[in-house]
Amino acid sequence: MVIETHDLTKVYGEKIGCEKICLSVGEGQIFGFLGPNGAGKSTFVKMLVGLIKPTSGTAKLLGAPLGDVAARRRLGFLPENFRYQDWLSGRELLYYHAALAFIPRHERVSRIDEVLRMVKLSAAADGKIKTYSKGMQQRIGIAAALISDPDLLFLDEPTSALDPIGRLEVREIITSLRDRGKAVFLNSHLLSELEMICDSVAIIKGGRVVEEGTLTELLKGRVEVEVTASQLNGSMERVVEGLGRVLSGADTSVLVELDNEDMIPVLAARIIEAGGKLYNLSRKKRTLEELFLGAVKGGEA
Amino acid sequence: MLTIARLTFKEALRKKILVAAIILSVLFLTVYGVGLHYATNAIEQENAQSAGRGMDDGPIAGADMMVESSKKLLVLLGLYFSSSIVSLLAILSSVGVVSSEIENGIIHAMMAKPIRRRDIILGKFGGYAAMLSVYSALLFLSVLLLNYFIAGAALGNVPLLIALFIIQPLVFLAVTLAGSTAFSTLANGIAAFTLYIASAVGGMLEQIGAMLNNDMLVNTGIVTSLLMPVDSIYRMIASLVTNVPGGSINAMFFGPFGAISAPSTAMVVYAILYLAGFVGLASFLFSRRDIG
Ligand SMILES: Nc1ncnc2c1ncn2[C@@H]1O[C@H](COP(=O)(O)OP(=O)(O)O)[C@@H](O)[C@H]1O
Ligand SMILES: [Mg+2]
Repeated sequence: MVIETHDLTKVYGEKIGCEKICLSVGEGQIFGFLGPNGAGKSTFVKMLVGLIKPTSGTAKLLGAPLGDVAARRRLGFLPENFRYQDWLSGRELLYYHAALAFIPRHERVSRIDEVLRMVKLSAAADGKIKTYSKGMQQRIGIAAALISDPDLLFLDEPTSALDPIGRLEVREIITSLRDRGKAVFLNSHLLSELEMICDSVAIIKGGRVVEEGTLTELLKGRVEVEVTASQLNGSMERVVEGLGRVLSGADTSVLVELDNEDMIPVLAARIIEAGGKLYNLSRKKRTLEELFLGAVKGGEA
Repeated sequence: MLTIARLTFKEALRKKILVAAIILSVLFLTVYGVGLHYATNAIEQENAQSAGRGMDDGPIAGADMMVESSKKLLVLLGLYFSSSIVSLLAILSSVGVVSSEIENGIIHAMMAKPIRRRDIILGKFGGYAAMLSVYSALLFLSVLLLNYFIAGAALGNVPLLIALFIIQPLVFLAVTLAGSTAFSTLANGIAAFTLYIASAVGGMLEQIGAMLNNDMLVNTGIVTSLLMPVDSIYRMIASLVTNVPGGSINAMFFGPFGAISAPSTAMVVYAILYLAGFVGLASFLFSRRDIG
């Protein structure tokens, strides 16, 4: 395991950053950490890379306890609100990061050229960072995170400033890292992104992990059906009680999550029993987005 | 750590406040040089006149003493203003050295690098210390050279004077650095500036107290110089440059700019320990705090 956390908790005064997070990420995995804004994603990553200290709980990164300086040689990190010494050129910034990462002097130049090529900034490398577009700044940040060829890379919202092509390119970088056996921990609220590349995801909400597993596990699991029925006596929530839960929709048309597929005929029977007219009952293949919305909205109802 | 120091040094050279300090210093040196020129002329004329009146040996010796003292006073004025410039430069340039980088997020990416937080602090200190040392040495050397060439003041032990002079901004740097690991840039700026004023006023009070033989004032001064030893370093340099034989009458002549009682060498040791203590405090506070 490259990441193992046990009950990792961060409390800011009265506010909970994240609470009792237990996760493990294996080598060569792309792990997606998904949640709405303010859910605690950045808090979690900041604890792992050493910006903030956990209130309680323990964690290991690359086999070493949190705060181990030597283990950080194998770590890369792109902060969420990245900002760099913008009076340096891209190349100078990377040189600085290479030096901080203890890359031997004679390897620095070739390594810098390599990461510049990866993030497609070779042409702009000698321009000052302050003249870069937001997207270019994000790329140079990714390049700085990659400089030491880390075994474990943390990216906190790495594509927030990128256009669709930029996003595609970042996805390609991430998958090429996995192909070389590196692990990537990806914070994002962009579901489609994660869906395309992640091996495993965890969904966090209000500081707690509400769903976790490999993408295939999570996406099969429970069954979702679209139901259109009218003239029900009582609400759809009532009808679904004991079978699963209503994920979204209102009145006549709803999306329902059932505990297993045997519940589908039971649901149909219940609707009829309740005097409803059933117009549509169709089983859906779950997407991550629905899983996410379901998980995030779940506790609020 | 050297990597950070090197980048911080470049960063320090880019500060607008450094440009302001350079302009201020050039202005100061110009005005000071011109002032020295006229003051020296006036002193020599006065001296020639009193010599011309053909007085006997005693008074001529007295007049010489007066000329010497006046020249020393000019050196002290240069020392005083250049000390103020470098101390303020130290405070104002380093006031946000850690806090502003936390506030704007520049430091975040650095935290995941395989470096200890202590090394970040030492690197930051080293970078600013290098800039301030070079700057202070050049400024003070200019003051001394102006005195030497224009006023013909004899100067002894220049390397020691410059080394002592450099301690002043470095002490302020250490304190401001520690403050910037704990407080916001604005709060730290206010705190450091207040400390600077307190130190300057405390030092003056001590001198005035010594002149008036007022224990209360002297004690206040001693307490402030323990809390902030920069002024003692200043008095140390002052007593070295004014070192006129002849006792307290001469020392009195320099008023609050001089040093009636020279601080002991222990004060220099104390100042250096104080400086190291604050750098240590800075790295302790920084190691414990959450970033972002
Ligand atoms: N420095 C801080 N002080 C107080 N509260 C904070 C701090 N940082 C984050 N929080 C709170 O912790 C929660 C999680 O924030 P964050 O980890 O940034 O969420 P995310 O990255 O998922 O958007 C939010 O409620 C946020 O307001
Ligand atoms: Mg975040």
